[in-house]
Amino acid sequence: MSDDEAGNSSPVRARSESPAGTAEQQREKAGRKRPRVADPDEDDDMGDDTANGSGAGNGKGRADDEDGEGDDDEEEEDDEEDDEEDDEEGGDGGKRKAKKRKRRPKKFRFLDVEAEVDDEDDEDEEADDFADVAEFIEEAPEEASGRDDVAHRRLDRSRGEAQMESVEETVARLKQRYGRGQAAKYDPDSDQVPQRLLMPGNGDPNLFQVRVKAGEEQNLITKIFRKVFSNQNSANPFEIYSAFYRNSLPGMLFVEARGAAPVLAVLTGLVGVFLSTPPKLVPIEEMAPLLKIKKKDENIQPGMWVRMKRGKYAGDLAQVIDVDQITNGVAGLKFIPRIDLTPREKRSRDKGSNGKALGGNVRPPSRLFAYEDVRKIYGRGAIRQTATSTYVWDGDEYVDGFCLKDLKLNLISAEGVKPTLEEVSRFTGDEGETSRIDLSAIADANRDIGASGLFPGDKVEVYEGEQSGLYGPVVTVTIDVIAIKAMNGDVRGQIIEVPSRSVRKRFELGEHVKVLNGPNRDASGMVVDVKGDVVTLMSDQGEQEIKAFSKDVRKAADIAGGSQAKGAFDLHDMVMLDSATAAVVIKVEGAMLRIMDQNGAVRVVTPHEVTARRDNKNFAVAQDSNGNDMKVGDAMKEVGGENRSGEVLNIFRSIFVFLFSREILDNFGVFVARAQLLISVTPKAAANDLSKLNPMLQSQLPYGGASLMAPPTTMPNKNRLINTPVVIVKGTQKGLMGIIKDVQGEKARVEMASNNKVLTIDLTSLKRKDTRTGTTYPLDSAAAGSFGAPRPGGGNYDINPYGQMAPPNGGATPAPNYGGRTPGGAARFGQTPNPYAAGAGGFGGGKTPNPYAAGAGGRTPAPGWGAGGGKTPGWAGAGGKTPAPGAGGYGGGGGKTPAPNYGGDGGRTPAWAGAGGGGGKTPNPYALGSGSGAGGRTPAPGGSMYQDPGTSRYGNGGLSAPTPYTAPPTQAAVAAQTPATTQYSAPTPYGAPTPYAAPTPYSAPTPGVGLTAPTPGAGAGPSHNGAPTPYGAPTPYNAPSTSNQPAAPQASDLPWDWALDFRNVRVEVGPSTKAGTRNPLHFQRGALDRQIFGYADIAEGESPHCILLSDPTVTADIPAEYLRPVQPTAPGQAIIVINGPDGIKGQQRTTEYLNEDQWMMVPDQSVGEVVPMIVGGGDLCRIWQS
Amino acid sequence: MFFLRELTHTILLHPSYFGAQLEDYLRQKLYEDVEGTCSGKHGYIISVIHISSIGEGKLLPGTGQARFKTNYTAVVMKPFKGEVVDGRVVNVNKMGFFAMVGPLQVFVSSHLVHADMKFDPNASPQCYRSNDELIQKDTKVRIQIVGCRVEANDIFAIGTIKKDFLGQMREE
Repeated sequence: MSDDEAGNSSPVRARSESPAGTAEQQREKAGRKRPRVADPDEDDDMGDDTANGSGAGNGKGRADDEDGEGDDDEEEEDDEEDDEEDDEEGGDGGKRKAKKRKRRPKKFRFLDVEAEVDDEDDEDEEADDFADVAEFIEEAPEEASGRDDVAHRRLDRSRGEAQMESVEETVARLKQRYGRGQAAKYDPDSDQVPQRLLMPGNGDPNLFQVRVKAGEEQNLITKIFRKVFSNQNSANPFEIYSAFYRNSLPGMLFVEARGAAPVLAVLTGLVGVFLSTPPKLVPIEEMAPLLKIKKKDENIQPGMWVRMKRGKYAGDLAQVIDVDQITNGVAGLKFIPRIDLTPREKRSRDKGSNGKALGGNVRPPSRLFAYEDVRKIYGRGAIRQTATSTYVWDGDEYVDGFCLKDLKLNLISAEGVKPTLEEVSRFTGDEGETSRIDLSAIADANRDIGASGLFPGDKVEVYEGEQSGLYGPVVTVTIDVIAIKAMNGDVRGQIIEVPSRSVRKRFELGEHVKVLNGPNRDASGMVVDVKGDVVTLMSDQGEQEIKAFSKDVRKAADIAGGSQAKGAFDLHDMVMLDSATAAVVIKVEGAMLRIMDQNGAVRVVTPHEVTARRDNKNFAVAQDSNGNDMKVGDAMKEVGGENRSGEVLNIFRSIFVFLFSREILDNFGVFVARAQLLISVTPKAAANDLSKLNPMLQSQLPYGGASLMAPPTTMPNKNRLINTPVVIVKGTQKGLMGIIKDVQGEKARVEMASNNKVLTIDLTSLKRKDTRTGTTYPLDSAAAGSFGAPRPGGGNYDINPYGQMAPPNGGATPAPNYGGRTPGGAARFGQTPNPYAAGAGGFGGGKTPNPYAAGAGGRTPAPGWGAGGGKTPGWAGAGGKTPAPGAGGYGGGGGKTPAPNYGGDGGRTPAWAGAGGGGGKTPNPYALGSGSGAGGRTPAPGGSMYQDPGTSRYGNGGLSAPTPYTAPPTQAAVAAQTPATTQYSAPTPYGAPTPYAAPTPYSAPTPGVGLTAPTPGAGAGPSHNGAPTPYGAPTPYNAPSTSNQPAAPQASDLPWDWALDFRNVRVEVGPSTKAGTRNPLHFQRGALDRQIFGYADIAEGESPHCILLSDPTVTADIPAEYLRPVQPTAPGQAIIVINGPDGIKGQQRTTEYLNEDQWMMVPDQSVGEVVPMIVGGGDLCRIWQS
Repeated sequence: MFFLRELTHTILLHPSYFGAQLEDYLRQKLYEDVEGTCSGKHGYIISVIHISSIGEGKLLPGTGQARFKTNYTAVVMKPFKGEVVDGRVVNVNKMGFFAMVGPLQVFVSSHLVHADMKFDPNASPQCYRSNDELIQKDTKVRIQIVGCRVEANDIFAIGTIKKDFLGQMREE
């Protein structure tokens, strides 16, 4: 093929004689000669195309119109092309030709064609072929004078005309020579032939693909055009033939040229062209398809669904009802109208105010036409009724509520219309009433199952056509035809090919299926009904039915995981709404989760609104109303309320239990209950309860069932920091105070005191703030609360595994102090590596032999013993539940003390400690034969008992049970024999309200006994044993701890304005104790510091009127914040309790005995008090004038 | 359908049980462990009828527990598609009703109930009613199972009464 053809077929002819500015212009000028031009935009922009059609005339139209002139056209074309060819050959032909054309006089226009050709040829190599004609032409305009000349000319012309034939022959020859003949034969009526004939070949310019910025294609093309045209007359024009882009290929330009160099040349300097990727050569066979126009096959048929493209109804579904005028490009549609029921006046008013309707952008909701409604708004006159339920309003016809309207085809789209079940149902029935769904309509809409939805193995049935009724599994799938293996009919067993349009998937009742598409995507369930194309399934997830098109459903594995991981959350997963609110997923609705929180509230959230909770299903336990543990998966029942029962899904904080029951319809069967309001439906705990099966343990039951105690659950007090007042010591919030609301790892959520916001702050940036004193402590537990600074010690007990439970107080108590007095006690216990021996033994030793202790224990409320017990490893908890172990172990103690009472103590009392330790210390001859030894021997049996590593903790019970501790040797007398032990290790709680209820404890023969009780050694006792100390226990027992730490904690416990509550007491002046006071630290700059005053009345404000004891003439009104109580210093002083629980505070007594800063008072006989009161010195104040 | 099946179960026994009554414990534990459970593979284990071997205990290092592999024969119930079963209705709602067939829960969708049986939400208790039949809570029904969903430790079935001789069973 010649060069010319390629140039001719391109929309841009860089070197053509028609320098058009754009493709359109160019086409207009040159288009009539180029029926083969393919408009790159043609398939995408039809409107454009038609515009072109009139202006430039596409090949087809023109050919139709000018059929008769076909030959002429051909010739014209040929000539033109010859010109071009010549241009090519001549190199500068273009320029020349342009000039010549301009010169050409109009009157010769008729001859132009020939003349031009001749002219061109004349000047070219083949000039000889046209020599005669050329001569004629050249002569014609120039010689116009004289009749001869005219005659000659006429003659010549007639000759020339005679020679036309030969010219045509010449042309034909040229055509043949240059292969342009085929082009001349182009028949616009035929699609096939020219396509084939016009295929580019090797000799044609190449097409280069250039990457450009998407969206900039058109601009770039325009720029290229301009560039080319502006340069085409310059010295070095761009040697490209065409450039185009396709809307269907964003980010690409195509440039036709003979090599990459011209392409690069023309593209250089254009913004938006990615020259980093060099222009890519388009293979020849791909060139034509690039320019191919895909004909849209809009096959509109009545009944089919379409969507509207523009306007108010954009995106709305419509049904084709009428195609009579399809040739006019109009189809009759039926759709649900969107009638604006906003009053017209309002709209016009809006319009008046701003010139545009306010709600212009708001499109009215889609609803069926209702005569009454429209009439109300627009008036009766606006509507015309033509027939029953047929109205005409605003030029449109409404039938049965639907709007019937003829719309142009370009306003509707028939491709990719996938009506949903809901949309279709609105067409066929009232909203929500799915029962009236016209199945065939839906089937029509969704009939196109397509090959994509089918896989080999799927069971399908043929529902239309010859093979209707046939069913079987799919064997192969091609685009339009599938092969199925027939399972019924005459062709049973054979493989039949059927069109994929006429099959649908077949499902059996009861089949387990999964929904692949649609609103219920990913739902799975069992088929309960199949009607045509609609499959109804019973969802696995919740008790609900789901309808889906059969094409959207696939068979699922029979064995469903039940919980396919769908994204982050699955059904019945526990999620956290915030740190304090848990919820359970009750339904997964596509991307949304429907959840029920711990309060029973249901809401729908997106997955990112919640956080996953660590899976604790294996650990979460809670106690039901019977105190039995429940776990996830247990069947539980409500004891009250609705008596619902269900299976435990999850437990939150051991309080909120999420349950699930298939029987409950609300909330997909999920409900929340408090653990305390549940009871187990099937008591099955026994199966795994070792204690119930173990004969040894059971045999122990008579002793109180201690052995049934569940092993103590370790309670790592993760949340101990919660509600701690803190101050921030680092960062931008430094200095602000707040309260810890939650601890998450190394961070705490702190509610700021200042602005009521909750911030998340590193624990390392926080310090505990004592709100009273304003002093700060490190956040760690060592400094917990009022215990003040960490205390030293405890080192030698570190081997005790339970030592970790022991607050430092344990160590704080100087062990040697007590150990020295307790023969063998502290020291030994301290050393023993056996946790039980250490903790329990030590304790028990202190308690057991002492009848007083026992007695006291009997009445002592738990807190007292709690001190010991609380710390006693493991058994604390155990004891808490069962009183009796103590009884069994203690033997004597138990014997005397009513078990229940003891049980109370036992709550904290280390049951086994009692057993072992008690036995050990009791100088009880029965004690395992250990004989009489005092506490000194105690550990031995205890130790041996507990040191047996092979024995479980439960086992000990068994072992200890048989020991003859039941003998009641522990009596006061006995205890008296071991004064030391009892004296210092008795754990009698100081804070206990009635610790002295034991019969005449105080009158015990040995002072030791007496001391025991009041001794804060109770606290000390445990601590000196190194056993877990009481201080960690949340008991009033905290008080005694202060005794070890006289000043600081005392001060912190005592309100700064204590003095205002009392009269006639002695006070000492010192620095202010009021946190954040505005007064100076020292009253009168310390002039009166350390002086002792008394006061009887309180002056103005908060200033007691103080009188100096040493010099009564000196008086001063000293603000209460500077006053500290004067503590008793010796027995026999009259005191008043200024701090402590109600009932104790305000009591006046006389001191009798001091032990470790704990004062025992003389019992007040007047009120019948038999048990002396014991109060820490810090809580006492001497009375001024008694 | 009921089957007799040879099954095995592994029991872990705490050392505190080691003693003369060890076998008793094992038996007891086996009964407690397996009876009334359901496995997707075998179905519901109704009852252990014979323990063929209690196995040798093997001490596990670390815990001191002993592991016994016990072989036993049990009556198991596994539902099958097409099987006709008798059950008792436990719950009725507009979507259908649930019936318990022994341990198995069967759901009968309202689609799988005779067309002339209508759900009556106003009745107390709610029921399905036709001219001559009434299905409410505690009604005995005969159901044909049309499908089973088998999970790891649960089986759930869907049934139909939309066939001859199915539906309410009258006590004669």
